[in-house]
Amino acid sequence: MLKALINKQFSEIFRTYFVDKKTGEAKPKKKIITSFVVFALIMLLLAGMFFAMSFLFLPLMKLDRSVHWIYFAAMGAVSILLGIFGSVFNTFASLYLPKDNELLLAMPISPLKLLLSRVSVVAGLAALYSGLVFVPSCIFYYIFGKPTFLSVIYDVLLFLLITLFVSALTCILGFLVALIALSVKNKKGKSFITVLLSIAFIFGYYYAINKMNTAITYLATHPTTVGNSIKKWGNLIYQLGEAAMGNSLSMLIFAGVSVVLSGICLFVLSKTFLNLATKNKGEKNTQNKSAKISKQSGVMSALVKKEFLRFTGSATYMLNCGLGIIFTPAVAVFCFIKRKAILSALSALNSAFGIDVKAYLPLVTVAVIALVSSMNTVSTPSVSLEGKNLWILKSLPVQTKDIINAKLKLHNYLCVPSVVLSVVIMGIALKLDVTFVILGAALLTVITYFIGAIGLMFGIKNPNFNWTNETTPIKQSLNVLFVLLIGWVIPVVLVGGYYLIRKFLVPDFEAATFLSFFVVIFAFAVRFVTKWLLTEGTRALEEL
Amino acid sequence: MLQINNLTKIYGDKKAVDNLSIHIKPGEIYGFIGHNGAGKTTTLKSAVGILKFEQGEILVDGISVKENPVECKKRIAYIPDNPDLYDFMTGIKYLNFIADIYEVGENERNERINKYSELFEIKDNLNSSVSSYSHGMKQKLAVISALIHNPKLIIMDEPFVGLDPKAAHILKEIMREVCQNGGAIFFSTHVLEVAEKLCDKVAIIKDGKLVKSGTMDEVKGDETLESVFLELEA
Repeated sequence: MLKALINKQFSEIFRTYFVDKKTGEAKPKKKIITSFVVFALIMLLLAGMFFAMSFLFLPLMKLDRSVHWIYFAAMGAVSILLGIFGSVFNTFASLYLPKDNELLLAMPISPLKLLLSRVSVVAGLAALYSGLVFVPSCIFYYIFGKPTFLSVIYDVLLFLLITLFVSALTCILGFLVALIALSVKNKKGKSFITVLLSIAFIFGYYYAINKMNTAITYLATHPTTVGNSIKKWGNLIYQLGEAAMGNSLSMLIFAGVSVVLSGICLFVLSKTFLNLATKNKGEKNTQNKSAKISKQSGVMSALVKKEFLRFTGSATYMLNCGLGIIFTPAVAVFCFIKRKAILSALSALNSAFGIDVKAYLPLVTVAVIALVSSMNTVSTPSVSLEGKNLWILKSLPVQTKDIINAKLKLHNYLCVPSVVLSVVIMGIALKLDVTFVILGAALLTVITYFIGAIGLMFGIKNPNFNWTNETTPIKQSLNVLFVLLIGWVIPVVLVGGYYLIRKFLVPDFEAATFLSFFVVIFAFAVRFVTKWLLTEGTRALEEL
Repeated sequence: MLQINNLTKIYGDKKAVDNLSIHIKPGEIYGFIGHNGAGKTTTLKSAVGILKFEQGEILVDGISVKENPVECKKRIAYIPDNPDLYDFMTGIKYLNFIADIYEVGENERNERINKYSELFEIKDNLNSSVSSYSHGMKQKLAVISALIHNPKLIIMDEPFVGLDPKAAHILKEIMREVCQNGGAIFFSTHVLEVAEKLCDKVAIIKDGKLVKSGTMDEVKGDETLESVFLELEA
């Protein structure tokens, strides 16, 4: 039975990979393989980043093998953090919010088995995100370190144990969020509390990562001192590091802690699951003060408002598709606060390596904002999120292009002010010329329009209406992954392109000209994709 | 009011609706009955403009659903078999949204929301989230939202499912009122007694084909609608 439940969970996630949405039949093998190849490439790209990060430890590899555990302790900690970061936002929704909870609980299925099937998805995500760090870290060590046969075996076991450890921690966090969120009666209040808790967690995560970077740099030069501190203050991480090196006692300790933690977590969750999963079926329906009938507003305004209510009505949607709205200005404010340190670092870079920092600064500023705001994929899952409600829009007297425009408008209304504000703050902080601020704002605006339009295009071309948990179209979809990837590629193209032009073609190529060129390019791209949306996209949406 | 001429809708290799023609005049309550999977919902959805169809023509108030779906939809209200409404809205926000889309003025929406929410006894629940509603309450909300723009034609798929006896009675009264005011109702049902008592005309569909239609007397004669239906299904 458990196998059937787990199969059901994963088939929901992978359905869009295998099944054609129109015919309901299996997709051609070529399409399936292409989807998986693209997915694998994205994962390889991310794993490559962490592999590159391991090079910080190259000096440590030249020291005695007895201190190499520090490497695995550090990378293991990053792996655990990323694992938690990657899955924690969906744990609450994955465990307690699926629409089929009541249906399955009405069947002769024990809550524990249902819970285990839900946890399997959390574990899958934990394995994916932790593995992105841990697997390349191990490969790095096998190339540059001194592995033994036993350490390799233990590394495989550790990957599984880290997944277990991360899943347990994430489930506990999800459980705590559920306890707090479900104590709030109002549905919107629940969403906002979940978002607030998650944002607090994210800031904590970035604070930890920030400290970790400093710690890693310090660690490379002071392995013994840091090693002693880890032993004293983070003994479990020390055991993890030692276990990865083939220490059997440490392996036993880390395995024991992971298994006991998972046991406690499963016990608590299974005892409370029934109550929380059924309690969450919306707010208590109480008779209350008379409802306010609003004044008439226009059709487009009503459609945009509906999209806004959909966005703000779901913590999962806000956290996974709109975090950049807050994060982008937060990064800009951070730069403003640290402006003196940044400017002196830039000037040091200028004098030490002879890099013309001033020439690159506008591009880098735009690239940083574009990178952070790539987290904004508001429009991408918006079609799939219509789910079983699609009949409403289809039966209403509205043009399909208005439905599309409303989805685009919400994306732009939410994301454009955020990037424009950020470029202004960064401009002041980094003393950018006003021309660059204006051009940067223009470029970031068209990039935002482009991401919104291309995301909606993917959403229309490859929708998924058959979900029981909204994390499926929001988080576990290829559409979102593609759009995120495009969002990451854009800053690389901007900075890399400018660097290559200056190095090989025109050494004193003006940043303003380059920015203007890309404003035009993206404006054309927006026009092209929008035209598709309003012609082919409209037809495709009508066919759904 | 509604003319369905030679409608054919195909899913893959299967004809869900095969050359079906139904004409509904203003003032008529038209029942649509048939076994599960006969093609009732497909026909209703095609008439509303939700489903595209391969052959035939559907006219609402003389306007083609294929050519001008938006104009047709302005005259129609549709209530599906399962009221999946926006869970992220409160009842009143949903009604305001529908009223905005149909461009219903403040006074009219005020009057209609108050009237129907009081009739269906959900006025005090309109500030609650739709996600907290029972199936019956969602059905009531769907009915109110359908009436908010005073439609000429109401198309309903199993409208009485989930409604309590009092609400079902009120809905029947409203259906009669709509028809008395020159509107028309086209609805599917499995409750043959309701169809027999409520409908002016009835159509029976089997495997996508219309097997019998006309006034209630023409269809059932001296028998009951149930016995006619069972004979046709045999």
